[in-house]
Amino acid sequence: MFITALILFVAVIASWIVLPGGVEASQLEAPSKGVFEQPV
Amino acid sequence: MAVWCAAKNVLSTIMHSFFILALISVQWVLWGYSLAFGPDIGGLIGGLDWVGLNGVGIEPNADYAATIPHQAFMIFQMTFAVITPALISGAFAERKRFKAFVIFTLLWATLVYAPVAHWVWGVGGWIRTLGALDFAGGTVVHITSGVSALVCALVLGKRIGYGQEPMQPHNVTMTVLGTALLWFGWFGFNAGSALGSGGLAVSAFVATNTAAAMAALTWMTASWIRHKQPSVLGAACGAVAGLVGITPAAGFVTPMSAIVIGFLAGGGCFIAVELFVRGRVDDALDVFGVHGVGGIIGALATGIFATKSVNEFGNDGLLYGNPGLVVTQIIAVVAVAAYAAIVTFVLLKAIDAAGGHPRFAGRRGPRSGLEPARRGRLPVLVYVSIVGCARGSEDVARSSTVSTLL
Repeated sequence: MFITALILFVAVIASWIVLPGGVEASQLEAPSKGVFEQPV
Repeated sequence: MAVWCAAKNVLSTIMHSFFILALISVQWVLWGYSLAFGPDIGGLIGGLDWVGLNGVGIEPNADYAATIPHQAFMIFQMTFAVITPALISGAFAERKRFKAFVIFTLLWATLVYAPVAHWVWGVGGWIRTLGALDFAGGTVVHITSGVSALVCALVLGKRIGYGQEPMQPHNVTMTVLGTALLWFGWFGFNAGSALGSGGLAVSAFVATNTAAAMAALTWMTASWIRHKQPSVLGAACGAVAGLVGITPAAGFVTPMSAIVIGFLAGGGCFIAVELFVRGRVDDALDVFGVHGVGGIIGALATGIFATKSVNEFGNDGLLYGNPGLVVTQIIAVVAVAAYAAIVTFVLLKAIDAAGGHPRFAGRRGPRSGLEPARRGRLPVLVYVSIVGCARGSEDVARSSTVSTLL
């Protein structure tokens, strides 16, 4: 089971290297308006 | 859960969850606990011997938890009873009137949750007697709520604008915070189900965290493949899916098996939500896709990965030479899902018919908001109760606006 778990983990992480796009914060979800920007 | 709704319905959704806490807390001590865990009647339901907590005191009950006060066991189980109907409310977010919601919740907790809890956890319950394993509520909590949520979503119908108008969560930041709260709180559910501070609790703790983490990574990866960019909402969804998936298995599997279960739950729930549910059924917060499907995956995975080396009071699963456990788990899953679906459908129809006029929000749902004049001003800070999953992380990424407030 260790080998299976290790393979899955490595595969998931390794896929990030080949997938397009990045993980910079600016490329994650476009932030919604913060609570202080929303009209009350 | 509230943070996933359109802003104008946040307070209503919060109120639902908060109200369930109050409603079921009292229902549980009055009759719910007795029906779920009381002396068995025919393997189907507990008796009324313990109504009003009669006979439920400080002395431990050897059948359920020999080392802690009986009331401690009772109040711990109450948290499960509270959470389960609260999960369902995510499916009809923005569509259901309060009165109908109250009646439905009370009846559902009494007619669905209590019997199923007795079947699976009660002494003499037929599923427990059959040998099915459910450590912390994969069938009792997640399959019942997920399936019932699906029925609710189908009966209530889609919200106005569903599929045409973007319906983004109103606060992504709070969503991630809510997920973190869930992740932390889930340790209480799973590790706490060991009913003691010892080796089994630690094992469940490790399995829970590991599965959640792997599921988060998996869903985020799947979302990245499909939507061409990583998503924090995807990671949050995945974490919840992993927590759901490991719930029935937490006290029966090894940490390595937990990684595999997390992978299966994260990937399986992603597929269910993205490819089968969204666009077809307006399950507002993906309750079926995550909790229903995740619970089913977890229950079946328990039949595969369970081992007595982790819990001598459990059983060995398929990988440890006992394929019969998989069959037992399948029987439990099918029975619980079918019962929850049928009774939920009957309840919805009965409640709708009883009043002589529609009680659900129906087509007024998202465009006008639910009874806005009575809700008052929306709060600045949102109380996060339960987190659902994103309607489409790609929609949030592309959109720079959120629904306007009332």
